[in-house]
Amino acid sequence: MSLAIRGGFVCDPANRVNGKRGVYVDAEGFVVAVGRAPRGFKARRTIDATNKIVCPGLIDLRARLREPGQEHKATLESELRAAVSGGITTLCCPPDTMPVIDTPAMAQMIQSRAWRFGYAFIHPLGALTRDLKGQHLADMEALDDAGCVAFTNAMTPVTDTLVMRRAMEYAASFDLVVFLHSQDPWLSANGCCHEGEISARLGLPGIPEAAETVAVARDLALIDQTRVRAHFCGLSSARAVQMVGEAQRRGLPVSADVTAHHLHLTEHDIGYFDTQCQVRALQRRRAGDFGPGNAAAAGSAAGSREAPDNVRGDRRGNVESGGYPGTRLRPAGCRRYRGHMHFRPPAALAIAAREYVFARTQHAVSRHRVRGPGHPYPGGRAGRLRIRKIEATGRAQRTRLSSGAGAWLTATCSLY
Amino acid sequence: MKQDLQFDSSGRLKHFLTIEGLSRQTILQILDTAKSFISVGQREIKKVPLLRGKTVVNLFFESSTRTRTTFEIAAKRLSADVINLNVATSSTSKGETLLDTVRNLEAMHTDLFVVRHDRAGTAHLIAAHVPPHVRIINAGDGAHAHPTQAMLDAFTIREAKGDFRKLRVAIVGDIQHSRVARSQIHALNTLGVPEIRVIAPRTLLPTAIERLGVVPHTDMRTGLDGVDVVMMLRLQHERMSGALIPSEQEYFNLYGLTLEKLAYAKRDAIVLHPGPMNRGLEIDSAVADGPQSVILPQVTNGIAVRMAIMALIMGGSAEPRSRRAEANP
Repeated sequence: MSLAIRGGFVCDPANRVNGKRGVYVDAEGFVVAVGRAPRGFKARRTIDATNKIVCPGLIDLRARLREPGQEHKATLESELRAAVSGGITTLCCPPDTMPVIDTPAMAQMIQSRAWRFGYAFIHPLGALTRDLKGQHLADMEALDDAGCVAFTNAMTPVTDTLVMRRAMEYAASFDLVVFLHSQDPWLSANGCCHEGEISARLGLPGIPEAAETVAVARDLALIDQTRVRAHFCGLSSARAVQMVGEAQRRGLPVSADVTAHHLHLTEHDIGYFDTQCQVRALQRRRAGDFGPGNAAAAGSAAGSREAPDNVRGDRRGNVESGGYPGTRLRPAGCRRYRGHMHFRPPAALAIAAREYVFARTQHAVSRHRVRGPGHPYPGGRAGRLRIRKIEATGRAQRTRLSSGAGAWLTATCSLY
Repeated sequence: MKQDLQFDSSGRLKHFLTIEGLSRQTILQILDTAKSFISVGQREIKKVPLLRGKTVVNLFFESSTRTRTTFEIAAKRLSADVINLNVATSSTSKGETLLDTVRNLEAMHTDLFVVRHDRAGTAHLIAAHVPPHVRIINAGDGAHAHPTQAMLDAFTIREAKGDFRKLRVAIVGDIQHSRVARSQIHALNTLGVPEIRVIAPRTLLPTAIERLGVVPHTDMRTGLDGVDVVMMLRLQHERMSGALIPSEQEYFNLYGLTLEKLAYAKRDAIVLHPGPMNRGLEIDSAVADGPQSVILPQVTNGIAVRMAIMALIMGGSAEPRSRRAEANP
C-alpha cells in the first residue's frame, strides 16, 4: 500500500535530514522520496503527521528478551509488540536468555521465532564466554555465522582479566564486535542506586561512580592492547563518558551509549522509594552531568543522540523496598508520563506506525523467503551487520537492505 | 510515591514512617504526650482506654526483642488487642508477597500495623497500599529509619537535659548501616540541636553524610570534646568480614566508649545506646552501668513514647473527640 506521511518533522541523522518534510513510501514498503513526492506518485493512504516527529525505525541495542527461559515474565511476541508500539523496529537481544545464546542453534532459534511473529527485527548478541561463566570462550565465529551481530557477556562481568583479554583478542582476529557492560562486581555488590546524598539519606546500598570508571579503565587498557572493536553499553557517569571520548580521540575503535533513563531520571527521582525509578544500571546524579560537551566528546555514540538506541527499558520491580514485579516500557522523554505503568502513545498514530512497520516487516520476510512457521531463517544473511554501522540510528538498516529502492527502511512515526 | 505519605489531606499525621518531614511542633507534641503517659506505667492499673476495640498487628520480618515487646506493652496499655506475627515462620516463607500478607491481615479488620523489615522503604511501600483507615508505624526498615527509637532518644535527652537548642550531641559507631542514626540525625536537627557529630572510621560513614547536617569525625578525642550527649550504636559482628573494620580489639581501642574516652565529653554528659549492647566491643561495662548511662530509662521511656505515637496517629482516624473524653475518666 503506497503511503504518504505529510507535515511531520523528519529526523534522520544518518541521511542528514532534519526538518519538515513529506515522506513517500511505495507499494512495496520502500521510501521512494523524502521532501517532494516523485512524479506520478499516488498515495493510497495519507497520514497527517503535523506536530509529530517522523524518523527511521529505532534500534534497541540491548533488549533483554525473556524468552526463552523466562516466559512467565515476557514472551518474544509481547516484547516485539511492545517494541514496535514504541517505534523500535530492530532489537538486539543479549545472550543472557535461558539457555544462554552460546550456540548457533540458539541464535537461529531466536531469529526464526522472531521472524514468525513479525513486528520487528531481532539480531541476537552472542555470548562472549561459554554459558557466560567467564571461563571458556564461546564459539564466536560460528555464532557470527548464525547471525549474531556482536558478542557480550551481558550483565555478568568477566572478572578474570586474562579471559577478557583472550576474548577480545579472539574477537579481534575475526573482526568481531564486543559489547561491554563495564561494572566492577565488588564495588557495585548489592547496590541499588548511586552512592551519594540520596543513598545516605534513604539508607539504600549505593553504587559508587568508581564501580564504573574502574571497569571502563580496565577494559580500555585491554582494548588498547588488543585493538578489538568495542562498544560500552549503558554508561552512567560523566567521567566514564569522558574516558571513552578520550580513547576515541586516541584512535581506539570504541563507541558507547547511555540509556534514556540516565538522561531523564536522576537519583533524586527516587523520592521516597519510588520503585519505578529503580533501574538495573546505576542511577547517577543529574542528566546535566553528561553535558553536551561530554556527549560530544564520545562522538556520535554517546549522549542524547544515541538515546533512541535504548529507549526501551523493561524493569522488574525487584526492589530494595520489595515492590511488585512487572515489565514496563519507558521510552525516552517519558518523564512526564511517570506514574503510569505503561507508556501509551497517542492511539491514532500508534496504529499508523504499527501498520506500517507490520507491512514493512512482512515484506522483509518475503524477501528472505521464510516459507512459513517452523522454517528456519537462513542464518548469517541479515546478521552480517557491523557495529560501525549500528552507531548512528538508522544507518544500520539502510546499509543492510541497501538493495532496496529508497534510502530508508521502516520509517515509523515516533511519537511525542 | 508522594513525599507526604505520612500525612492526611488536612496535614495531620496519619502514618509514622520517618522523622524526615515532621515539624518541630509535631515532634514536641509527641514528646509532651509521652510525658503524660509516663504516669500510666507507674499506676496500679496500667491501662487507658484510648485504643479500646482496636486491633494492632506487630508485623516483624526481622527479629527484635526490645522494640516488639515495648510496642506490645504500649498497645496493651492503650487497651488495644495485639497480635504478634512471627513472619519468619508464616506465609512469606511459603512464597507469599509482602503486600499479599498485609492485604490478608487487613481483611481481618485490623487497624494498625507496626512493621519491621530488613529492606529500606518497606513501611513506605505498605503505607502506599493500605486502605485509608489503616495506620502504619515503621519499627525499622533496613538502614533507612527507626523513627520511634529516635523519638524515645529525644525524649530521654529532654528529660535529662531540657533545652535541645544548647546541646552538642555525638553519635558513635556504625552510621553506615544504622537506621537509628539516620532517624536520630533528622530528629535532633528538627529539634534545633546546634551541633551533631558522627564519629566512626570512614568505612562506617556513608558518603556525603555531612549533607544530612552533621559533622563527621574519625577521632574520639576531638569528636567527643565538650559534648552533652553521647549516643552509641551497635556494631554488628558481621562487619568484620566485610573488610569494614580490622578486628574487634582495634575497634574497641579506637571507638569503644570507656570511662577514659567519656572524660573528653562534658562532666555531666549522658550516654545512650539503642540496644542490644555489645559490652567490650562498642561500650565498656563501666560506662554502660555507670552513673552517666541512661540506657535503661531509654527502654522505659520507649513504652510511653510508643503509646504517644499510637494514640496520636490512631486519634486521627475516627471520632477523635469521644475517645479523648474517654482518656480522662
